[in-house]
Formats: sequence, C-alpha cells, structure tokens
Amino acid sequence: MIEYDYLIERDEGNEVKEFRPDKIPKKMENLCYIEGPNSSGKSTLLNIIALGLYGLKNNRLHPALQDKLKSLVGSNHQKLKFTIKIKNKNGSLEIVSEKLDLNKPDIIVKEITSNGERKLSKEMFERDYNLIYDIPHDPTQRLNHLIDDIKDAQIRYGNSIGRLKETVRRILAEIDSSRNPKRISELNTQYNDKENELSICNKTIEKQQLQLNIVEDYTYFRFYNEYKIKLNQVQGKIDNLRKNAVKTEKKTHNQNSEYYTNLEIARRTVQEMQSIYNKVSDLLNISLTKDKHYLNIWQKIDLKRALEELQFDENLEECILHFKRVLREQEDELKEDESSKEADFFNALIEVLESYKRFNLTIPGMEKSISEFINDLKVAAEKHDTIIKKRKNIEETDAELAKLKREMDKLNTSVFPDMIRLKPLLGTKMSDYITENAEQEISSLNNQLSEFQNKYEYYENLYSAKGKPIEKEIMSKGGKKIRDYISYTEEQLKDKIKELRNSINDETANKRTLEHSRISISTELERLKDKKPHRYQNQVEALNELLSKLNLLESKFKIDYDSYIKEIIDKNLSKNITKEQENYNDAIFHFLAKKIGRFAHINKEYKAIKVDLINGIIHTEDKKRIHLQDMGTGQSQSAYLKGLLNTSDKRKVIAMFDEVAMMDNKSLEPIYKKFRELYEGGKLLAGIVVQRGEEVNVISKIK
Amino acid sequence: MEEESSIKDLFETLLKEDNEKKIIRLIVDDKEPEEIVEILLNSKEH
Repeated sequence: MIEYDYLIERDEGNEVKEFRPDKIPKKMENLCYIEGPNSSGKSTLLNIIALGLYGLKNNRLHPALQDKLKSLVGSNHQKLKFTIKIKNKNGSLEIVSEKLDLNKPDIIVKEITSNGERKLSKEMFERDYNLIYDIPHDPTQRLNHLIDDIKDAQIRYGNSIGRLKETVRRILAEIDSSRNPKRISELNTQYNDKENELSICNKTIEKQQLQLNIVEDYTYFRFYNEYKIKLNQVQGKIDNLRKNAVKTEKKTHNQNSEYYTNLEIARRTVQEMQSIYNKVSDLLNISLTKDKHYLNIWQKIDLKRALEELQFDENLEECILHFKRVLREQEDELKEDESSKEADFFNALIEVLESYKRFNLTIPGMEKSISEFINDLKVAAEKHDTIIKKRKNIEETDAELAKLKREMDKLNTSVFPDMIRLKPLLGTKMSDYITENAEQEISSLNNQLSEFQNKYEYYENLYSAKGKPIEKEIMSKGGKKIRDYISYTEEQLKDKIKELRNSINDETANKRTLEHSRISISTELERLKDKKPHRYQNQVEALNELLSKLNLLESKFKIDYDSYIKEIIDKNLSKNITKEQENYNDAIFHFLAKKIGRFAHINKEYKAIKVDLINGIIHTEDKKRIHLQDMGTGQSQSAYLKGLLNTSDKRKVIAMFDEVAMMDNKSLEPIYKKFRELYEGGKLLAGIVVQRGEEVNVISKIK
Repeated sequence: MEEESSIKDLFETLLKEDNEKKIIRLIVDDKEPEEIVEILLNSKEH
C-alpha cells in the first residue's frame, strides 16, 4: 500500500496559493498505473516520492528529473511539506519519508519492521533500497544508459576493494604493533648482537686507550730528553765558536785566489754533510740493532776539521761502509721474516687492486667488492706495521749514508787535492777565513737552537701533563710493544698517536650509535611485551598476498574496466584493442542481453543473446540481427525499462516510470509482468507507471 | 522462464582467477571488509 499527502504553498505575488492532492487518491496499491490530464498532480506525486527517498542526491537520476526535484524545494516562492508511506505486501516492512516543516529542509526517512524503527541515512537507504525513476524519452539512446548501471557498479566495487585493501593494511599494521613472538625473538637476537658488539667496542676502546697512553708516555719522555741533550750540544758548539772568534783578529784576505774558491765549495759541502750526518745519527740510534760500538767512533767524528786538514777523519769512510753492511744484513733478516713477507704480499696485492677499484666487480668466492677487499687487506697489512716501519727506516739510513759518501768522495777527489797544491802559497790566511765564517755558523746554530727550544718546550708540556713518568715505569707499562716504538722516528711516533686518537674517536662514535640502537630495540621490546598477540598473527604472509591481489583488482576495476566502459559509452573503440578489452566488451554485450531478456518487436517476441552497443545491434537467439534504430519506439522503451528492473543486487526496488507516452498496452504489459514477478518475490516495494490521459484514472496492476 | 541476469555473474565471467572471483562475490554480497578478510583467510587455511 502507498499512502501520501503533501502541501505546497506557492507565492504568486498577490496571493499565496496552497496545493494539496485532490484528484489522485492518497492511498493506492503498490503496483499501479496512473493516467490523467496536465496539472492533475501525477508527476508531482512521483517527484515528491523521489525527493523523499534521497532522489536529489541520486546521481543515476536523469538531470531533467533532478531539476524538477530541485524546483520543488529550492525555490524561494514555494514551500513544501509531505508524508509518504510505502508498506510491503504482507505489512512486515514500511518505508516512511516525512518533511514536516514548511520552513525547514529536513527530510526524515525511516524503516519500520517487526524489529522496530530505524532512521535511514542516504548511505543506508542506498545500500538496502534502489530507487528507479525514469522518463524514457529517447528509447534507442536510453538503452545505452543501462550500461551506466555497470559503470556505477564498477566504481562502487572498485571503492569496496579499496576499503577492503585499507582494512588489510590496518590489520597488518595492528599485527606489526601487537605482541608478535617472531618479532620479539628477532628483537631479542638483535639486542644480544648489539650487546656483543658494544662489549667488543668497549674492549677495543680500552685497548687503544692503553696503547695511546704507552705511545704518548714513551714519545713525550723520549723527545723531552732528546731535545734537552740536543739543546745542550748546540749551545756548547755556539759557545766554542764564540770563544775562538774573540781570540782571533779579523783580517782581510785575497778572495780572488783559486784556493778560496775551492775552500768555499768545501765549506758548503761540509755544511751539507753535517746536516746529513746529524740525520744519519738520529736514524742509526733507532735503526741499528747490532755492532752498536761503532756509534761511539761515529759520534767522535768532526767533519769541520776536514776544512783545516784537507782530509776527512779516516773513521768516516770506515763507519759508512760498516753501517751500510750491517744495515743490509738487518734488512735481509727482516725481509726473511714471515710477517714481512705477508705484509709485502698484501701491499703488492693492494697496489694491483687499486687500479681496478673503479670497476664494479665482485671477488669470486668472497662476495665482496674490490674496495671492500682492499680495506680487508689494509687491516691485515696494518698488523705488520712495525716491521714495515723498521725496513723503511733502514732504507732511509742507507740512502743518507750513500749521500754522505758521495759528498765525501767529491771533496776527496776534486777539491781537496787542488787545495793541498795551493795551500803552501797562502801562509796563515786560512785560519782567518775560518774565523770570518764563524759568525755565519753561529747564526745557523742559533736557528737550530730556537727550533730545538720550541720542541723541547712542546714535549716538556706534554710530558708534564702525563705526570713525568720515569723510564723504568714507561718500559714496564709498555712491555714488548715499547721495543717496536724504539725503531720509530719522531714523525712516525706522532703519526701513530694521531692514528690511535682517530681510531678511538671512530670507535667512540660507533659505541654511541650502538647504544642508541640498543635503547631503541629495548624500548620496542618493552612495548611489544605489553601487547596481546593478534588473532591473525600467523597469517601475515597470506594477508600480504591478499593485499597484493587487491592492488591488482582495484586497478583493474578503477582503471582498466573504467576506460573500457567509457569507450563503449562514447562508441569510440581504440584501434588496436587488447584481447582483454575484447573479452570485456563481449561480456558486457552478453550481460546487456541477459538484462533485456525477451522483448517484443513487430508482433513477435525474441530472446536477446547479445546487445552490441557500439554498432547498435541486438543479436537474438534465432540469429536475427535487429538494429536498435529499427525497433518500434514503444518496444524499445519496453526493452529498456525491463532492463532497468532486472537488477542484480539484493536491494528492494521502488520503480516509477513517467511519460511512457510512446508505449501502448502491448509494450507496457511486459513491464507490469516484471512488476508482479518482483513484487511477488518480495523485491519490489512500489511500481508506478504514469501516462497522460483525458481523465484521472488509477488502475491497480497487482492482478 | 526469463534468464536471470546479474552483475555478479558479469564480473565472475571477466575475472579469471578463483580468488578474484571469490573476492568480488563477497563484495557484491555486501559483506563487511573484516568479514571478507576472515572468510578469505579461513578458506586459505583449509
């Protein structure tokens, strides 16, 4: 049963007119045919029912109908209130829609069942009910609109897949943040790993700090004392030179003589030799490990005496040759050492690999890049650092000794013989020359003194800061390692200190990172332990599979199918369609045929098996091809309206067809038949067909 | 008797894989997302 009532107040300028239903009865059967003249209220009734059942927000309603609904409630000169009640066949379900206040826009839609009454929002209504309201103006065109149902469904299902996808994502996030035994176990392992790494890191820092202390103590002690001695030696030399200079009166001499030219060469060469001699002395102190008694002879050699005697101390050449021989022996012994061989091998390998570093190669069997392998080799070679440094110092000493020998030979073979020949002609002038150059030498020694003074102060400060440990203490603390450092030069020791400090800094930074990671893991563990396990804990893999499947499915509905159906609607197929699109079109055309089912055409009934909307042809079961444009208008309308009623979902239908003027009784009969079928099946709540007529007439179509 | 038409059938025709067909069937049947997840996971278990 359909019951309704309404009041429209219309301001016509000079008066406000009221319109109420006065021609069409306020109660009628659920299935009925209404005919009547213009302004009898038949379209108004359908418009109010549609308005009351969220028709304004129903985007499937034809725009012309939407405009009519809008004019009912959206005009300033017109106000409306209404009540609509639609009760189903056995009275178990009633839909009530009311707008009770002329001045307020609120429309309340309710569903009343044996379970009680519930308000229906637009979404709830659309989920459970299907409002079909149509005016089949142009049947051949409107048949295309059936496809809009599919387009809407695709969008609706695409959105549902999207919601399902979000649900799966949410569940996965819940699992991730819930008590997950596997995750807890992983975190525990990670925590223990970090603990171990931290322990190793702490030990490394401790070890390196200890080593740094040893190297610092030793270095500062050694050079504090070394520079103290050097300062005294240089100061002694300066004092001696000054004493001799005062005793001798400065005299002029003949600078043009050949003798003085040679003497000047000899003086410069001896000065250069003195500098080499000093360097060799330092190097010998750390490099020489055997026959050290020669050092005493070496230290007594005075190179400058050669300028007076025109020959070098005979011990000089002997010492040079002796040291070169001993150092070669030492070097050979070092080269034979396994550790040295290993270091040589690693360094040779590093040199070769460095040239291939830019290639993105992996070392077979090691799964490491060339750069990673070079780093490993460097770490391995580093272990033999001391022996390498020893060899380097020996090589350097040997080279300096050779240099010294060359300079000595130069003077002995070409300078001194000439000077010896010329000397008898000079008398006492040579000592004058030496005195003249004393001031120059004092100035050079003063520079050296200043340099040694600075270094002495530098090491004194550092040594004091370390509490000035005594030699015995340093040696006992340093143990075996100190013996390695004895063979290091000053620069090598300073580099070692720098290297250890950098390494300690790096390890400390690494330690901080490890501590942060450990705290993060611990916090995450605490958080997880407080959580309860998730019901889908063991189905993460299946959920991820589902998620990936839903991604594909959503894209299929929202992108692929959407583009295919648009081409059908626009009757504009792409030139080279894919097999998938071909299958899609075929399925749609068969689906439309099922929707239309049997239809009448020129006094005969046909069964559609395919509706080709692109070419506008209906293919029938008996292989007939009927062009849509050739179909009688009424028959085409009938096919279209029947299609609308063949809904696939479970929603209950309220169907209203207006202005079916082109349809005669024969064309309308299949519609009524379909109405009754759906009504008997409990799927149709109301079915109303409206047509223009001379008089108002309402005919029940239930039987 | 008129042949029953259904959008569910249409999409089941279009989709090739069984699990895709099943998902769409559940969606067309207006099942809530949580319910669909449960049904799909349970069917996977067996």
